[in-house]
Amino acid sequence: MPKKKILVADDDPAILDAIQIMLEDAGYDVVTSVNGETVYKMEKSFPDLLLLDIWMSGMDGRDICRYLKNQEVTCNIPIIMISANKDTDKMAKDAGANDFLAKPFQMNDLLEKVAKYTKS
Amino acid sequence: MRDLTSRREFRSLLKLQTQILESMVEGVSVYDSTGIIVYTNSAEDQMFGYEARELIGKHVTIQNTYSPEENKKIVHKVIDQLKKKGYWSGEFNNKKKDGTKFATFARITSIEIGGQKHWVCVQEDVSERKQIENQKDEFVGVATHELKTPVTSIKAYTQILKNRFQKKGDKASTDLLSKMDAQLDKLITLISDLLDVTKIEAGKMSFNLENFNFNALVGELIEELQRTTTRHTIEIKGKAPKKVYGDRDRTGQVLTNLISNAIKYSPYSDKINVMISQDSKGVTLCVQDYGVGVPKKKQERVFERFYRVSGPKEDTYPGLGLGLYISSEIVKRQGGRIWVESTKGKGSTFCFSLPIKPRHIKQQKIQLLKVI
Repeated sequence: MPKKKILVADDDPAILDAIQIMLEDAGYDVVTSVNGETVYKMEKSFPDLLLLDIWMSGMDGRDICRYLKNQEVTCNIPIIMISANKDTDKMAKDAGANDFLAKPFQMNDLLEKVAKYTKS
Repeated sequence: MRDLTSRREFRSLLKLQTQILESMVEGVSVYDSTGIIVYTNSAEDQMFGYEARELIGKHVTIQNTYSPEENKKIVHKVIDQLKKKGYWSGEFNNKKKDGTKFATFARITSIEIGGQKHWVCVQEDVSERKQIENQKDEFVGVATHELKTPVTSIKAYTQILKNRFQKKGDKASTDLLSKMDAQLDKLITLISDLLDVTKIEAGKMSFNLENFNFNALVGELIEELQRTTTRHTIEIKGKAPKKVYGDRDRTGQVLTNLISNAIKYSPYSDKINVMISQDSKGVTLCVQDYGVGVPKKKQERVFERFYRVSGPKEDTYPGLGLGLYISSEIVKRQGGRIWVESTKGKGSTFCFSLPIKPRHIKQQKIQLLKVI
């Protein structure tokens, strides 16, 4: 079975690095982005899941989420929003995210959520 | 002759007192029991932007920004405190003649003039001080958020390593990393508590209100907390109605705090009881321990910000003194109540109650800020 592809977008390089290793160790194919713009503008080779920080440098992750959920080609990509503010759960869901994860997180919580939304 | 001297003395005393009042930096005003201003010193006039004597004869409410309802409430509070303590002190939201708003810290006492009750109000402008306080809170908010970022990656790296050692069957290294992970969780709780306090102070703590399964929440958390102690057995007694209205995560935070405290403050006993009861008004949860207890006179203060029970024995317990303050804010904001019953040396029972039915809860403005 081909590996599931996860796109991770966060503006902190260390968090991005750690999540990448975590997911690769668990058998996923991982692509990362420190820039909200590239996620916003993705046109091909879509991931099976997007892990999206709610606050990308200068860009509101919720806007990216809303945009992707409104495009025909990207609307079916599951999006899990990540935020250091645990009170933003509702905001993430309002923006159309499938799920939410608060930073700092337990590895098992991340892996469970990723597995849940990439099950084919 | 003596009469003249005493009159002269009286006049000079009066002059001196007037000089004292006029030299004061604090604004002084006197009003009668109906709220009509009968005296202001020059600091008061300047603070409110009026000409000398211009405020005299006006009603005191032109100085503040409150609605008639709010003004009534304040008057009741002041009367109550004057009876109880002999003075009232607190903050006022005021406005200048030109409408500029500002805050003062005021003290009110009462005097009699010609057999009539009057109020003396001494107040100072605290706008600048409040602004500095806000800046400080904002700074703590930014600092704690910045702390969270590296802690997130450190925790993630720790868990990756633990996972790798586990896969290799290296139990000693796995255990070591589990300990490190547990310490990181303690650090994260400290950071989260600081962040919560800045949210409370800034009025930005938000609540996701819904009907949730209270019993399931209690069960889950106790299972989790039981794992943090090998000494204590946490026992649940009683049940809540199926659905309770409130913020599930925040309510869980209160419970976690009460049980963690019970564990922390009862190092020599082995039992913690969690008792749930319900009546027509709501659900009550109590956490009982057989630990060090809280002395009677300190019981009221344990819910204050930064307050920690100090004493020769208690000094050895670590913490920021924020947990119970945050818990009490969470409970109060959901329309509930929190209290403690305790005997020093015998143990404590901390309880909170929440209403079952949905009620109107004033939602604070939710803002997505990078700092919080």
